[in-house]
Amino acid sequence: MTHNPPFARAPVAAWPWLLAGLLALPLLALFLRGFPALPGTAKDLDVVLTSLLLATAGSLITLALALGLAVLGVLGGVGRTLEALLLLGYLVPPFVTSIGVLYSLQAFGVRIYGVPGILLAWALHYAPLAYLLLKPQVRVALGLLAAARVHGVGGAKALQVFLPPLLPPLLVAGGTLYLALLGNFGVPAVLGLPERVYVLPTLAYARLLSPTAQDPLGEAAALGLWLGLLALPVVLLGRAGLLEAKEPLLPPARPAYRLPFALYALLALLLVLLGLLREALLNPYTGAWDPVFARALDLPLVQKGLRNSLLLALGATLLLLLLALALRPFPGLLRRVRGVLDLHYLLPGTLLGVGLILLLAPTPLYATPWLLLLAYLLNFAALALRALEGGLGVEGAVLAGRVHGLGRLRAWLRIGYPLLLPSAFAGAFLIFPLAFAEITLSALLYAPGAETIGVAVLSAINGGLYREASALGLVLMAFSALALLGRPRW
Amino acid sequence: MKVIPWLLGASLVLCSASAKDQITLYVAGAQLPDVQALVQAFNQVHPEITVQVFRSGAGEVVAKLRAELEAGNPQPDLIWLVGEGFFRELSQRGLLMRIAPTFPGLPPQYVYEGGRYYEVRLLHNIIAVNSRRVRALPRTWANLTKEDYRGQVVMADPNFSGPALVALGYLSDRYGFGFWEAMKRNGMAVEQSNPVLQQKLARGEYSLAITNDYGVRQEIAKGAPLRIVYPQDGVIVAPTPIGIPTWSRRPDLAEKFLRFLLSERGQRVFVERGYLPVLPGIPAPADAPSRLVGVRGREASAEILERFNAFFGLRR
Repeated sequence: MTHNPPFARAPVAAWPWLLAGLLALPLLALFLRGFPALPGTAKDLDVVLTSLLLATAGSLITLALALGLAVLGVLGGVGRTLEALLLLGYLVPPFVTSIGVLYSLQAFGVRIYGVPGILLAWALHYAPLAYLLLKPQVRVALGLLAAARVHGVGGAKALQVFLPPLLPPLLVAGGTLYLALLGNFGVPAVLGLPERVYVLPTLAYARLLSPTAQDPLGEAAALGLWLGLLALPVVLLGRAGLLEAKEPLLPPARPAYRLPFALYALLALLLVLLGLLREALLNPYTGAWDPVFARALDLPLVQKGLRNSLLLALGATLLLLLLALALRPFPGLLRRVRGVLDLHYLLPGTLLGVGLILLLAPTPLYATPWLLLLAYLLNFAALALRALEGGLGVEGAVLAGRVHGLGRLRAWLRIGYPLLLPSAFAGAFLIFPLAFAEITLSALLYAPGAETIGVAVLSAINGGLYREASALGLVLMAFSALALLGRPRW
Repeated sequence: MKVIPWLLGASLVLCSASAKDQITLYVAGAQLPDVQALVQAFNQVHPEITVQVFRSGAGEVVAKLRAELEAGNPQPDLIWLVGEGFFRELSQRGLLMRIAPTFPGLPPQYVYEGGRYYEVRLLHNIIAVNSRRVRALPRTWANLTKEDYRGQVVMADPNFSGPALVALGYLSDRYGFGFWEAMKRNGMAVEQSNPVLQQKLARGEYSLAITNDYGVRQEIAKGAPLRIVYPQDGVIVAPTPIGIPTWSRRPDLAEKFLRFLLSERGQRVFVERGYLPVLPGIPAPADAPSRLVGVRGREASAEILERFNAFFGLRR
């Protein structure tokens, strides 16, 4: 057996590590600046606790809701159209969900700021995501339940059949939700800030803009570290593989179950939509018909925001997919790079945002749209790489091409990449809407002239332009509905 | 690859913003539509100049600027705030450019430190009242501590809002901190910003507010059931200075903007947005008194602010 001398290969093997290290620099900068400032956050421990409790409670509520929906959906044999109605809720940016809920309930004289509002908006927004994660497993579990019934198991014992196979997917979905809620900035920014209910992402943002903070950057970095600490256990647990199972034998679908499912989907949508429509269309004082869309879209901040968000989202999506395609033939490199990029995606965006400020504030890159583009690239890269990772058949097909005499590059260009195109499209539909309505990173990193649409809406709310913010929320919602048309088969 | 022209196009558009004649304005004490109206009117005179805007509460604008100064990369060509304190600091550090005060008709009290910064419009703190919810109007600031108004009064967070910081300073000077103790006992609420508070006041979540005048005039014009009370113990003028920092790369363009604000045309835009003008001879907003005698307020000291924060639980 021959092998290459180790030192001849060392440089080749080292540079993926170097690249991974470079990509991790923002987190390193955050750690170095935040660690010494950590004792200063002793006064903020209540916010650390609030963040932890809110994210945990939110995950549990959302999980229960999604489990119920998944059972109804499977038993009722819910079709794609009805499911799309439910999924629309997830495609609407979370901060738009919050504005909608806020104004809808205001119409009934209910003030929903603070903790209850945040939990409600989170549950409404994230239940469809958890539903998607749980549904395949609920099918399996319900199949087992049906089998158990045939064998005479019923009553409380049936739960012993139903729950165990659901436990791993519930943990996975719960972990995904927990990370999403912990890092979510939009909902607590809209519903928490006015009542001074802070979670770590909004507190870090407030610190950066606080005139009384002694060391705004250090304190924001330290809060970022807390956020990382709360997220770490779940990140380390990782995503357990979901159970793969054959299509189980289910009892025939009973349309009666479709009714509550449809009712929920409709109610959830109305709860968001009603308030937005009322604010955007009617004068709040006289009740007269007075649509505000033209005035909202006329604001220069909004025009700039829409243009920048569109360009940034397009640019980030295209660049990332090209990058992912370019890396696809080198699985070893891909794996190492993705290890770091996964962190940027899974860890709350606040960490990346503050890290980038620390790293790049003194450079000319600061206060330009390029900083935002860089942030989006780092944040969403893991999604692009994951989207193209699948398709094991691709390697085999490329190999076959090479056996038939094609060079490595040509084999990929002619055989490998065309096979990957559907995955690339699916990835684009995943990344583009997320980047378009991004708010966590943009709120931290935008500069005058480089505002995104998320920043514009947040400014409108904080500047008392409630009606304009609602109109923009509706525009963003319509945009999200378009993305639904391109929905791949989930 | 078809995407490359796309990307080039995208980067061109992203770059183009920085290529033209451009200035950056950091502003507090005006809302997005107000700044938009000013910039649009300015662009009718100077279409070649692009004005980038960062707008927020005075507290946030100062904090952002401080952070940028610390990083050695300050962005604005024009700074426009509520409250004089930060301008004195900039002026002492020699960071403000002097602009010759050659503005026809501008009264000398609106020129600060020989032209290092200027007053370009007047912003007042007044009492705003939701007329659907309040029958007996207050006449003075001190009236707000009356039992009748228990749990119905609101003001903006002085950490965030410049006018609120000036109101805190003036009323503490005049009535002592006891005024705020009485207000707290009477259940005064503190909202983040004036525009948010004015929305809530107009929609009946509160009945009375210590707030700025121009925003209330705008909501009244939209049909809100609001009234302005000019307190007998002093309508508070909040200084809203504007100046050009020495680090500006285009002080020539920034000066054009300043000169526009102090022109008749600029002053008329202010009046349309509910502010009182600084140039004599420009008529005040329709529902404002033609002569409004205010007392000049000063921002609260750090000690007073800290005390207020501790008292109302605003530690963040």
